[in-house]
Amino acid sequence: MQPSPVPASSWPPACSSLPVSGGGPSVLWTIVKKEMLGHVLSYRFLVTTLLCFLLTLASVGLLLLDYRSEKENYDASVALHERDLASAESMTDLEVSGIVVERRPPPLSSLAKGMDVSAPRSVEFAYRSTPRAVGSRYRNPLLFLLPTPDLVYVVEVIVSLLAVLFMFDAVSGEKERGTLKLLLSNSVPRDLVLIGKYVGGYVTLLLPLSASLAAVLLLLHLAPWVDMTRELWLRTGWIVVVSLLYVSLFFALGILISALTKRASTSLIVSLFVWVILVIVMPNIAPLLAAQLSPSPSPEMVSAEQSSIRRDGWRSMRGLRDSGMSESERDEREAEMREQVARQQADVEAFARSRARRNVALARALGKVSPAAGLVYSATDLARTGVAAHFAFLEATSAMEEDVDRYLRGLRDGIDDLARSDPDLDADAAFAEVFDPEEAPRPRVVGLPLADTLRETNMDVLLLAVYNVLFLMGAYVAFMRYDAT
Amino acid sequence: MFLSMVRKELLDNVLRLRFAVACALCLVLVIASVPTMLRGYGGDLRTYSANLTVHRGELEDLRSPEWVRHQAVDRPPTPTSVLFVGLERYMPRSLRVSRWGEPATVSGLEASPTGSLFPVVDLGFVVGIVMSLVAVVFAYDAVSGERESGTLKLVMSFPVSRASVLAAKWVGGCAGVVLPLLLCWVLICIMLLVYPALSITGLEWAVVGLLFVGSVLYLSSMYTLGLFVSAASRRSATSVITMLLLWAGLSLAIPNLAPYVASALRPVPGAAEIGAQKRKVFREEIAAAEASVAGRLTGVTDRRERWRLQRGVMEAAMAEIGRQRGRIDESFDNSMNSQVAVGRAISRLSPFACYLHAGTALCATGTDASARLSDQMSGYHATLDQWIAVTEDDPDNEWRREVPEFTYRPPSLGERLSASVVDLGLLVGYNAIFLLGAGVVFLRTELT
Repeated sequence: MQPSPVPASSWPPACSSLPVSGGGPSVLWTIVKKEMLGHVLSYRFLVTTLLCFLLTLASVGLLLLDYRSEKENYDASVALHERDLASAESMTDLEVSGIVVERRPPPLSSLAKGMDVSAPRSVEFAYRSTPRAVGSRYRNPLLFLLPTPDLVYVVEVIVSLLAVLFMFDAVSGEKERGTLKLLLSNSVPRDLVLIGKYVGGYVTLLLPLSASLAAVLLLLHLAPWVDMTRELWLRTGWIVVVSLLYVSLFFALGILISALTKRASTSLIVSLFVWVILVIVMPNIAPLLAAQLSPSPSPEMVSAEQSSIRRDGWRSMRGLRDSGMSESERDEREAEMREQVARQQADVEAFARSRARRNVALARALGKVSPAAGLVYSATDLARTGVAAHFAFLEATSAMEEDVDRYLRGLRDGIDDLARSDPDLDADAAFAEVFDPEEAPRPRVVGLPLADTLRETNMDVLLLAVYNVLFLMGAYVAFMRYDAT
Repeated sequence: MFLSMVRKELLDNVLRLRFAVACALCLVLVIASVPTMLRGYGGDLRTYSANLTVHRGELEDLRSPEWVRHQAVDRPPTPTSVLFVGLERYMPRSLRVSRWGEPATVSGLEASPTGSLFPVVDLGFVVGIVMSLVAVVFAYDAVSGERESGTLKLVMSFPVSRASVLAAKWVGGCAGVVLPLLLCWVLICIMLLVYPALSITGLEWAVVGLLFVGSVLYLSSMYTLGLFVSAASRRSATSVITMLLLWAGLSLAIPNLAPYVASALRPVPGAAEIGAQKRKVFREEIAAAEASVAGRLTGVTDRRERWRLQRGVMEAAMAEIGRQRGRIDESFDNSMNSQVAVGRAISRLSPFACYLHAGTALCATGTDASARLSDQMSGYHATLDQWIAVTEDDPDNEWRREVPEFTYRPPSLGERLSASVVDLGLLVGYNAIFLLGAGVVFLRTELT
C-alpha cells in the first residue's frame, strides 16, 4: 500500500491567496480550487477514479453482452413461434401446443436490470388453462443469488460510499489538523467555506463519474444491437440526472455529519453507520415490512385456488352428464359453467393482483424514507424494468389470454359451421380453410409512455432534491455553530 | 503478557463508540429480519399444505391409474431458509410432468414485485455485508492508528516479539467482532425456539452451529485483511480508504459481477435454440413413425388391428421423443452447470461469495437445490411406473387410495457439509493468507 502521494506537510494546499476582507465569487473560487486540489492530489481520488471507471464499464459492458444474448434469443424465439403458427395443421396443434408469447427484453436493462432479471421470458397460452411461464429453467441460478451489478446498483451502493468517503472529514478533519482555524482567521464568511467545500468535493467526484458515464453512453451508442431511439436517450439522460442528484445528496450528508462531529474518526463511524442505514438497510427492509403489513397471496396460493375452482367446475359438469338433460340444454349449461369458472378464476387473480399492487405501493411509500429506494424505483421505472413495467406486463398477459380464448373459440365456431354445411369435410381440412396465421392474436405492445413514467417518478426525484436541500441546510446550521478550535 | 495484550485489544475495541454502534445495528437488523423471515416461512408452509390438498384431490378425478404419471409433486419450504434465503424463492414449489415427460413448474406469473428489486435482508446479508463492514471498521487502524498515536512504539519497548503483538491484535480484534455475532446468534436461537410453526430438529441445530463457525471464519478473514492493510499503510486515513474500497469491491462488486462474466466466458444455448432442437426431434420422429405405420398397415384390414398397430408405433415414437428431449436438456444442463461452476470460481475471489456459497449450501438453498426436486421427482416416477404396471383399473377406483405418495427428502447434514466444505476451506485459506501477509508486513514495518 502506498502512502498518500502528497507529503503530510503540504496537505492541504496552502490558501494564502485569500483576500483579506469581504467575500464574493473570487473567495468562493479560491476555496473551491483549494478543495478540488486537495481532493485531486489525494490518494482516495486516485482509487476512486479507478474504481468508478472499472466498475461502471465492467457492469455496463457485461450487461450489454447479456442484453445481446437475450435479444438474440428473443428474435429467434419469435421466429420459431411464427413458424410453428404457420405450420399448424389442426385445431389440436393450436390448442395443445398453445400460443407462446415472448417478452421483449428492455434495451435499457443494461443500465437498470430491475425486475427484468426474474421476469418470465415467455408465456404459454394453452387451451383452457391459465397462462404459464415457460423456459425459466434455462437461466443461470447464480443470477438470482445477488443483486444485479447494473449501473444503478453501482451508483446506489458504490458511488454513494465514495461520496461519503470524500466528505467524512471535510470539516472535522480540517479542525483536527488545525487548518480550519487558519482558514477562518481570514475574513471569509462561513457559508462561503461550506459552499466551497460542497462544490469543490462534488465537482471533483463528478470528474471521474461523468467521464465514466460518458463512456457508458458511448458504449450504448456504439453497441449495434441496441436501438437507441430519441425516447430511450431521454430516459437514459433522466437516469443520469437522477443518479447525479442522488450522489450530491451524499455529499451534503457527508458535510452535515462532518460538521456535527469533532473528530474525523467519529465522523467516519457515524457516516458509515448512516450510509448503511440509508443504502443497505432501509430500502431492503421496506419490502419485508410491507409484506408483513399488507400481505398478498403467493403465486402458488393463487394457482392452488384456481385449480380447485377448475376442479369443482369439472365435477359439476360431469354431474350434468348423469342428469338426463337433452344435449342442447346440457351444452348451454356447460358453457355457462365454463364461463363461471373463468370468471371466478379471474376474480382470484384480480384479487391477488390488487393486493400485490397495494403491497408495492406500501413498500414504495415506506422506502421513501431512504433515498436509495427512490433511486432504484425511479431508475428502474425509467428503464422500463420497474414495478410499472411488471404490472403492465401482467395486464398485457391477461388481455392476451382473453384474445387467445376469443380467437380459439372463433376458430372452433368457424370449423363447426363448415362441418354443418359440408358433412363430408374432415376436421383438418376445415381447419385449413378457416385458419389464417396472420389473424392469430399477437401480444399488444406495452406502451408506458415517457410522460407516464415521469409522472410516476417525479415524486421520488422531488424527494431526492428535498433531501439535498435538507442536508445542505442542516450542514449550514451545524457549520455556523461549529467550534473551529 | 500475551493475555494482557489480548485484553487490551479487546477492551480497546469494546469500549469505543463503534462497538456500541455495531452491536445496536446488528441487533436491530436481526430483530427486523429473522421474525419476518419466520413469518414468511409460516406462509410458505400454509401454501405447501394447500398445494398438497389440491394435488391429492386431483387423484379423485383420474379415470385410470395411468394418469397418475402426471401427478404434481410438492416441495415443502426449507426451514433453514429463514437464515439464508438463497434461491428458496426462485426454486419451484411444485413440479408436474408435462406431456413430453419434462418437469414443469406449477405456478402462475404473479411474483413478488419488489423481490427482485431489493435483496432480502436475511442472516447472510446481515453478517455478509453489514458485519463484515463492522470488521473492516474495527481493523483499519489496528496497526496504523497505533503507529500514528505512538503507542505502538511504547508497546514494542517491552520485551515482546512482534509476532506476539500481531497475534494479540488478531485474537483481541477477532474477539471484538465475534462478540456482537454471538449476541445475534443467541437472539436467533431464542427466536427459532419460540416460533411455533417451525419444528426444529437436530439437523437444523447443527446447521445453526455450523453457520456460526462459517460466520466466524468469514468475519475473521475480513478482519485479518483489514489488519494486513493496516500494517501496510503508514496512515490510518490511507488504510481506511483502501480497506473500505476493498470491502466494497469484494462484497458488493465481485460476487455480483461473477455470473455475468461467466455467461460471457461460457455462453449457453438460449431457450429458443433448445426449443428449435426439440421441435426438430419431434418432427423427425413423428415423420419416421408415420412412414413406418404406413408400411406396416399395408394389407391389414381389421380396424381394431390397424388401430392397435398405429397406437403401438406412436407410443414408441413418443417415448423416443421423450428420451431425446431428455438428452437435449441433459446436454444443456451440463453446459449450464459449467457456466455456474465458472461463475462460482470467479466469485470465490471474494470471501463474501465463499461465505454465501457455504451458507446457502448448509441451509440447502444453494444453486444445486433446485435440481434436487426434479431428481427426486424422476425417482418418484420410477416408483409410479412400477406401481402403474402392477395396478389394475377396478370399477370402484379403489386404486386411488393406494397411489404412492411423494415425500421430499432435504439434503442430509453430510451432503450439506460436503457441498460447503470447499468454501469453508477457502475461508480458512483466506485467513491464513491474510494473516501471513500481515505478519510479513508487520515484521518489516517501521515503528515510528
